[in-house]
Order: sequence, then C-alpha cells, then structure tokens
Amino acid sequence: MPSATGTPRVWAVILLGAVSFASKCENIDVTSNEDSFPIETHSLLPPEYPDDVETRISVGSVVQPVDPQPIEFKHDVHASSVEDGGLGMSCEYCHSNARKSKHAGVPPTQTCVGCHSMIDPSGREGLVQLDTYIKESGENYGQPIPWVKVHDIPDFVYFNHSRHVKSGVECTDCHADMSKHGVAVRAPDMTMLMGWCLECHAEHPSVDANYGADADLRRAELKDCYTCHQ
Amino acid sequence: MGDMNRRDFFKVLGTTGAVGTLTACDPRTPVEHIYPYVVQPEQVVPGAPTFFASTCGDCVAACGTVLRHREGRVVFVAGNTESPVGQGGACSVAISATQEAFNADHIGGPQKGGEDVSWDDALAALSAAVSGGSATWLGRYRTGALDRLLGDVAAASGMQRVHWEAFGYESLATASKLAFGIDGVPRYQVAGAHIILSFGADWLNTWLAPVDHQAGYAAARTHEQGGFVAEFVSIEPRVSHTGTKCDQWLKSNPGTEAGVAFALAKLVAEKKGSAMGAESLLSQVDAAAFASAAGIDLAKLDVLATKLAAKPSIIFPGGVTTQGENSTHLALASLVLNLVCGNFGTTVLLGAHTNLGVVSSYADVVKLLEACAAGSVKTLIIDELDPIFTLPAELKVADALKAVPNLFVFTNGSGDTHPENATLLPPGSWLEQWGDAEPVKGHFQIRQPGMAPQHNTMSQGDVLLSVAKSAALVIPSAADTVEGEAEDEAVSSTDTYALGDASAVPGFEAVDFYRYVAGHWADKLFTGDDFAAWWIEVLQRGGFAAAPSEEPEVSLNPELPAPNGGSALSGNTLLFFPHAHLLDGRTANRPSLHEVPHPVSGLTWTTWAEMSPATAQGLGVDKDGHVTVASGGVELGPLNVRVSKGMPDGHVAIPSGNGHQDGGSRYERFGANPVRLLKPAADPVSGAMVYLSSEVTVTKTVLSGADWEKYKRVSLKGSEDMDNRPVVLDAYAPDVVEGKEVELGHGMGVHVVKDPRIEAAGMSYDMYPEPEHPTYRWGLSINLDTCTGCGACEVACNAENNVPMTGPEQHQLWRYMGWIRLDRFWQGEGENPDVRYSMAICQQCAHAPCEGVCPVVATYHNLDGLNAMIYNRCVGTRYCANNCPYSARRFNWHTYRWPEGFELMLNPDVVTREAGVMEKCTFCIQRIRHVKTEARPNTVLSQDVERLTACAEVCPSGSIVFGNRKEADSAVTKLAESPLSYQLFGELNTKNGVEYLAKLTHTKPHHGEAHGGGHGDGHGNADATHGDVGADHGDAGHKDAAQGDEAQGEHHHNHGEDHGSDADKH
Repeated sequence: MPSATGTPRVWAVILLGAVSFASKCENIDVTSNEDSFPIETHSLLPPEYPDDVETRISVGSVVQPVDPQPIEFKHDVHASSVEDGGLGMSCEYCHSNARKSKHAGVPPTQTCVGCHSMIDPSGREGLVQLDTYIKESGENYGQPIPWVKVHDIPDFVYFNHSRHVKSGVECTDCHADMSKHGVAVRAPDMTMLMGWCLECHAEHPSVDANYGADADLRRAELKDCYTCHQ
Repeated sequence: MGDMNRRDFFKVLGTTGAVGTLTACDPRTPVEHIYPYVVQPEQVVPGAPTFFASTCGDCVAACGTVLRHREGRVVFVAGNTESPVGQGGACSVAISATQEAFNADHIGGPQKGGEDVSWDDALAALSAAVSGGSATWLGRYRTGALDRLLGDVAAASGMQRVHWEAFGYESLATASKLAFGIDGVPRYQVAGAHIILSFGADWLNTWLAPVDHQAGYAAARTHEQGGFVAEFVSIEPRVSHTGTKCDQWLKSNPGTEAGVAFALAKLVAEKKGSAMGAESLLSQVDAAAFASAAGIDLAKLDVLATKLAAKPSIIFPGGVTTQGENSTHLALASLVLNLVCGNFGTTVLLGAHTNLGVVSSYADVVKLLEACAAGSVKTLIIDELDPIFTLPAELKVADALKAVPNLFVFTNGSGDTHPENATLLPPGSWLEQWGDAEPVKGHFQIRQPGMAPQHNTMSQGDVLLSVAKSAALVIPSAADTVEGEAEDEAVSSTDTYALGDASAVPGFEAVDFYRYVAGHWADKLFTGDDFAAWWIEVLQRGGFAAAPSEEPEVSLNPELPAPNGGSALSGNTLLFFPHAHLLDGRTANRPSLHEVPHPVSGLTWTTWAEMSPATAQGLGVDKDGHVTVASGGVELGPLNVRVSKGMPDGHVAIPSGNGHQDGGSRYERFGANPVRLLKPAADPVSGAMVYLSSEVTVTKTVLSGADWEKYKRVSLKGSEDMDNRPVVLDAYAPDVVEGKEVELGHGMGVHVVKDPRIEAAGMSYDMYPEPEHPTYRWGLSINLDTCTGCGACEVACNAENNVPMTGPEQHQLWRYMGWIRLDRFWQGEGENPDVRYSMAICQQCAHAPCEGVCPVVATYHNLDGLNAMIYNRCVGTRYCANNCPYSARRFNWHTYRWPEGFELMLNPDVVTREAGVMEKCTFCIQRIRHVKTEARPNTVLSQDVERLTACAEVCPSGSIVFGNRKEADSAVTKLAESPLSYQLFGELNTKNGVEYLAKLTHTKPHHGEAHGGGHGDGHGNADATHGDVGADHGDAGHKDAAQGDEAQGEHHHNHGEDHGSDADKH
C-alpha cells in the first residue's frame, strides 16, 4: 500500500509483532458485557507467582540463575581495556540511550553488524549464534534478538537511567565492572532491592558534587517514596 | 501485530522499546525478554516521547493537535498551542482518537460481504466503477488537499460530489450566501463580546468549532483581560449543555426562535437608529407578535435589545434542537441581528470565515437516496458517513443502499452503514494519515501521522490517487512540483519533488497522498526558495497561517425572503439534541466517551429521555424510572428518565449518538437511537434536515427483575444541586469588575470560627505540624466560571493515567474509576438556571485527613506538597477514602483489564493498578518527574509548567492552571491570591493545594440570603450560638445544614421569580 515511502520517519517497523507471546497460567477472566469489560478475580498476588508459600520464598532469592541468553554475549571481550586484551569499548557505545532516556537500551542488531559483518565467526559459538540473525541466509534473519532480561524492575517503580548517568553516577556503581564478566548474570551482590537503592540515595558522592549547600535537602528528596514509586 | 497477545502487553510497557513477557509457571521470577530493534529509526529513543503536530479529523473544526508518540504508538493527544483553531485546547473527541486506532472492532483491511478482500481487488473494482462514469461521492465536509483532489477526480471522471453531515451547517451556509454572498459560514470570535446571545446552537460543546469558542468564551469572562465579564443570554426551548453556562435563559416555544431573533433585530435597529441595510426586511417584522408566539415577554426582549445596542456582542444561530422548518430563517435572522449590532469584522468574521468546503444539503442526500432506490445510481462511494444511523427510519436508507450495484464505504468498521453489498474500505484513524485542512480561510493545517497504520488501511487520498492512476484520469493538481534539494528524507529522497505529470499518467508512479499534500502546499502557500526547510518548519509547527484576509464591507442583500418567524410546535415535540461526546454517533465506538458521565445528566452507557419535573410527575416517573417514547409506529425504549429543571413542560428531549442497531463496534450498541423517531422533512430554503419534526407519545414503562437490572442506571453526578453545601461559590460579576469587595457565595462561603482564647494561649488550630515544602508546593487553580463542563479533562486524565474503564454494570455499583469527578449542580430555576460545574479531584491537602489513617503509610505528604500514593504499599483498607472529605479516592474492587486492543494505547510511564489498591489524582506525577529530569541539574524548574498536568494541558477554556505555589510570581500563586479564589470546604482547614475561582453571576444576589439555599441565614445563627467554642464548629455545621434544609423548600418556590425580576432591572 502506498504510504510515506522513502520517508523513514519515526514509525519504523515495530518488531513486537514478530514475536509470539506465551501465557501459560493467566487467571481466568470473569468477563462482563460480552468481553467489553474484562474483570479479573481478586488476587493479591501477581498472576505469575505461584500460590504455595515455600516456592514463593525461593522466588525471592536473588541468586537464582536466569534463562540462557540467545547469544552468549561476552561483555568482557568488548568492554575490557586493550591492555587487558579487550576492545576497550565504552558502555554507551551499545547502551547508547543511557544519557537520553529512562532505558539505557539494548543495541539494535544494526550496531552489532557494524563490526561483526567483518569478523569471522568460525569456531566461536556466540558469533555463530549471532550470524543466524545477521546473515541473510540465517534462520533468524530479520528477527530481533530475544535477550533475556537479567534484572526486572517492578512496574510500580519509576527508574530513569538518564537521570542517574547525567548526575554523575557511573555505570559500574550499579552494574559492577562488566569488563570482568562474560555473559550477564544476576549477581548475588547486586540485589536491586529497595534498601540497596536507598544506600546510594543517602550517601552517593554525586549528591554533594551536584548540589553543594543544598545537598542535605536533596538527600531528603531522594528518600521521598515518590522519587521512585508510582 | 497480529500474533501478539495484547492482553499481556501492558504488563511490561515500562521497559525498553520493544518488550514482551513470558509468564511461565515454574518457580522462578518471571522471565521477561527485551526485543531491541533490528534497525533503529533515527528519531526514536525507546523510553522517550516524540511529539508530532497534526490536525484532528473528527469534525469540521479541525483543531491543531500534538500527538505524543512512544515506542511506535500514539499514547496521548493534546492541543497545539500554535494552532489558531483551538489555541492549545483539545476536546474529548480528539483526546479519545487513540480508541479509534486501537479498537478491537476496527476492520483489519478491506472487506466485502464480511469476507476480507485485498486492496488490489478493492481498488480495481473501485477504479472500474469510477471510470464507468456516473459515480457519486457522498461524504463528510472536506477541505484542503483532499477537497482539491476530489474536485479534480470529479472533473476528470464525471463523479458527482455530495458533502453532508448530520447536524450540518447547510442552513447557516445558505443564509450566509443569501445575505452576503459568502461561500462558507462566519467565524465566531467570542473573546470581544460583552453580550453573548445564542438561539440553541451548542457552540461550547458540539457546534462548529467548540474548542475555539471555549477559548474565546474564557477570555470574554475574565475581567482581568478585557475589563468586563460577558453576559450570556440563551434563547432556546430547553437548556442545552451550552445553555447551562448562561446568565439568563429565555424559554422559547420550540420552532419560534427565528421570530425572536427578527424581533430583537428590529428592536436593536430602532434603538440604534440604523438598520444597516435591513430596513425593508425588518419593516415586515411584528416584534410583539413574534415575541408572543415564542412565549417571551416583549419587555424582556426590549431590555436585552438595549444591552445589545449599547455593547459589543455576538449572536449565535440555532442548533440541532432549534432546527425546524424555518432553520434558514433562524440563521438569517441571527446574521441580520449581528449586522444591526455591528458585530461583523469584530466578533463575527466573514473574511477569515469558517471553511467547510463543499456543503450539500439533507435534501440533496434524500434525492440521491431516492435515485439509489430507483436503481439509477450505479456507483456510490460513502466517505465516513453513517446514513443508516443518522437519517430517519422512514427513508429506508438500508434498502436504498442495497439497490446500488457498486457500493463502497470508507469506514473503520464502526457504525451501522455496512450493507452486505458494500465493499468496506478502512481509511484508518487520522492519527495514522497524511493530510491537511483549511478550517478557516487563510489558516492551513497539516495532518501528519503519529504512528504507522495499525491495520491494513489506506486513506481516502491514497485511494483516490490510486483510482486516478488505474482509471487513467488526468489530475492537473497532481502535477504540482517543488524544486530544490532535499535535506530531510521526510520530504523526499534524492529526486526532486516531482509529483506526477498531468500529460503523462505514468507520473503517478511516484505519487502518494503525502506527496500530493506537499505539492498542494507548495503550489498554494510556498513562496520562498528553500522548500525543504519551509516544509520541515510546517511539519514542526503543524500549520501555516496565511495573512488574514481583509474583512469585507458587509452589505446585506436587499432582496431577502419575507421573514418567517415560525410557529410554536405542539407540547409533545421531540427535542433532539447532540450528545456532548458522541456527536452524531461517529464516536460511539470509543468506550471512554461512554465511560465518562455525560456532563449534565451524569448518565453513562445509555440513552435517556429528559423531561420537566411536572411532566415526569404527570407520567408518574422519577429519575429512577423508565419510559417508552413512540412516534409513527416506532417505539424507543425503555429509556432512562432524566428530570431536568431546564426542560419545558410536555416536551421530551433525547440525546443523539447512542443505539446503533447493527453497530460494527461492541461499544455502539448501548442505548437507543432517537433519529428513528424523526419524520423526514426538509427546510424548503436550504434543504436542511428538520429535527423538530416529530410529535411523540411518552408512556411509563415498569421494569422488573432482569430487565430492571439491565436498564437500571445511576447518574454519577450524585446530587442535583449542592444540598446547601458551599461547593461552588459565586460572586456578583459587576462588583468584581468594579473592584468592590466581594463576598463569595453571598454568605454561603467559608466560615472558620475563631476562638480568641486559642490564639491568646498561643495554641494552633492545626492538629498536625505544618508540613515543610522546601522547593515546591504544587498547586492547581480551577476557574469554575470559565469551566464549561465539557469533560475534556476527564477523558484526558483517564488516558494519561491509565484509569480503567469499568463499564455499565460496575457503574450501577458506583464503581467509576475516573480521578476527576466533574460535578454539576443545578442551583437555580426558571430564567436563571445557575448551573455550576466543579472539577473535584484530590485536593493535595497539606493537612490531609487520608494520610493519618493509613495503617501502612501508603499515602503520605511529600516534600513537593503532594499526597503521594504508593500503590505497592497499599493493602486496601479503604480508611483513606472513608476519611476524604472530597471523595477523591477510587478503589479497585477488581483488577480491571483493558478491553482487547486498548492495552496499546496505555501510557507506558504509568503503572496499571490491580485489585485491592486505592488510587487517586497525583497531579500527573510522571509528568512532574519528566520535567524535573529534563531540568537537571537545576534544582528549581525554570520552564513553564502552567499546563503540565493532562487536565490543564487539554482544557479548551484554559480554566485549569498548574504551578508551584512557592514561587511568588507563578501564575497559580497569583490566581490563588485573587479575591475570587477559595479552597473547597475551607473550614475543614485541610490546607489544600487546589484552589477554585468562584463562578461569576450577573444576577444580583439577595443580601443576607444565601444564593443557592438557606445556608446563609442558618449560619448567622450558628455564629451567635456556637461561635465561642471552636471545637463545636463541626456541630454548628450540622445545624446549619438542618436549618438550611428547612428553609430550602420555601426559598426555592420563589427563587426563579426573584431572579427573573432582577434580570429585568439591569
């Protein structure tokens, strides 16, 4: 159909549609009015949580593994310094929206292609996996890479990368030194629990650096629930 | 998006760009995925909004809009402050446009007989039919590039064009042509008018350009701007939605308004000593006879004429409710009255007039349908009209359409007009289209899409170009070219902007409607050297204003038909009126417009029959009752009853828009369609449809059991009047203008009883320590005088904050979730309806009663002065809601899911709430966070935040102002210092962040007597008996109310009369 062809404005292909979603244990809907107004039964638990208490407690554990990533992406190879045998890439080369948006962003496949179109994947599993997404003959060509989320911040929390990065918080302050890690994992020392956030909000040196005489006020504001919660 | 499970989508909207979720049942935290782009568009930053200037396509007003885009979707529609039409406001219809695009009942692509067909097949059939000649286009009013393209296609193919809309403007257009020889209808600029007079046009809500009118009305009512407060007189049989804002209602017998207008014109001309060329016309007017036919005292008209002769004014013509057999005469009379009052060139513009494009009449449509039924129309193309729904049943439109061999209907699937033999062509929503409009002569506005089409759709422009190409039509306007190098790919790639070549049809290869629009603008408007730069500026600003045309010298055509004042209709005429949100039914597929209570009646998801208290009593029904309305063998019912003090006895009024019988959308089938009761009749002069055509019989319907449950509806407005509570206070406008000290509410206002002993002892009245607000104290000022009760704020708030739609059954249990409760209090009677609107939201109290009772500190006062609401802490005790004096909190009794498809329109910055959680207005905390983040590292915001909240952003009358009360020169602080400003229930000492500006009235208050009830008298006693004990104050309040109640009955009896005589005096 004719549309604004040749005009790659904002509406590029939205890749969501390419993905099929599974929902194995959704609550049963009690619908009213011929499906016009779906109403769910009362449940104090988020639907994805199982009902029995022991399993719920184990779910709370922070050391559990995450699902395997579709591509064994090695942060250390990309981010560690040239002296250490790495490529010395800045975090923001790939996570390029960290300064602009609430999401740091995961790079589009395009960014990977920039270099990897010239790199021989032979014998390296991760690169062979990547090739299925970037070679026209690959089985996943044209599909987005379905990265598994390592940390999932609850929906009722408002977190903004740009606000932290622009204030002078280093990536490593929260994410540790990824140049020393391969595939991203959920590390036990990085809890993403509220108390852990508040430690920084109370003490981070950037508050003094940015606010000087107002630092105490700013610290009080940073401990306000509405700073992060909805 | 076909494969996606939409219901799951909204759970993860807060995460990066393209995200999905898997909810697996294994005992681990849920696994979520991040789906990055393969190729990321340059302008998209996942997580950050992008804004597009566009133009609304839902009515002829064509207001400028700004679309907020997030991750591939438009999530919010607001007004464009640069647009001369609307000036930054947006109405409920524009705001709800996303519900058209994401509607689950939107057809996925072209269809024939319920089966999907390809665009190629559909277009081939259309091209063949059009090139066969004798095609007819029946559609909405169109301006701009589409109007031009239609003209060219019509010229090249012999296609006939009929442009008509229900509630259209053919009477006014005919009258303008007749009187002044102008093509188009006047533009009404309310701002400069001291006297506003209306004959039934719903100009604040549904008529012509309501958003524009509202901005003007607000200016005319703000004495700081012009040094005056306009007085609004409404002459109509029934107090319309617009009429609820009037200062004086002169009740006319239905059908006689033209006579009143002629009579007034004559009286004004006599007082001014000049009839401005209307001498011969007015000499045929018998003012006394016309006034008597209308049932209006000539002396009252004389008082009004004196004011009209003395001050600048504006006169609106009739509307749907006053559209009788002489509607052209009413329009003509209003124009003549404007002429003798000297309003042309100031408040009524003919040079920069409203442009409607081609205007055909109802009679033309009837003629066309007769030809269809007779089989002489081979090809009919219907452009987003719903004739089956909007035309009387007697015309048998469905049968006529079935007789058309080649029937094509542009529709997204809603409405009743989708016969079996039609090929349905979905044009998509205006949020997804390129286009433009010229709503006012000289003002051009661009429509650019805010997102990719959500379905397999094709706009009318693209379809026409495609048809022209395959039918080898020569389209001269498609040859417009633009020279210049393209810097921006939005305009073109490397080629110049060759838009086709009239002589060589293959030129169409490059043409789509986007380029056609660009070519049209290049041809009509562009004069410089660098088109690319100019075009980008146009796209950024959303439009282009050519120099306003010179106002012509108006001279009245001396040969006008003899004035037809009309005759009064019988006492059981159906008064048909347009629904504030649903218009003629075109927006009935948008659930949020059914969900918000109707601004006046408070009813949702239904059609009601409005009648006067006496009529209701005669029928033996009350507000909980039901009636059946019948005419000519058509029965409508059971309808809910609304008893209104603004109704004439005997008649019954029914709103439009509801009750599609064959509606393509599940949301359209509520209620009933009163058009079915109308008799087909046309005004002989203009061919306009007669809406005052039907005498009806009304019978009481007694429902029981399941039927009662099904048709039971509650008015979410609660009380009919203020029940002696000082909710909306008023002030006498002339006192305000003169700068005299005003007593808000005339004794009904805030009375805080002070006990000298407390101060002497150095004690405080406050139970809590004063909260600290070091940097911000967010506040809102709401002007209850300029608030017109249009409901745009409610729709905007629901869209911005993901407020769930709960549907009719939940409404019966009062489980409406809207954070804004637009209260309507009908205080007066008779000539002074004194209807007061109040936007009730969380008042963000500094001493909030809700905070102290929360056992888990889910709600608390934060440093910015907000009553924060932390959803995940809330355990649902509902203590806070019980303790809130303002009823501002809403409880989630269920986890309300969004109807299928609508998850995509949710705001990704706001979490959705689940069962057991309390929610309320947060002053759009997500927007506050956004501007604070943008402002970093500065501590204090320097940018303008006056329209930051969603309600303030869209308010067409600019009645809502947001800001920081800690800043001495912020607009909200200045408004709070106004003598008209007050806090709701100030005696409760909750120290609110929300301030209200009192309603202004032109009715002189009775000294020492409460304006709306007996409260003032009662209060005097309370001061005397309880004034010395501060702690007794609450008790005293109760006594006030009791005394007020006693006084109320007596008081109300003579209320209307009193004010009527007052109105005479000044």
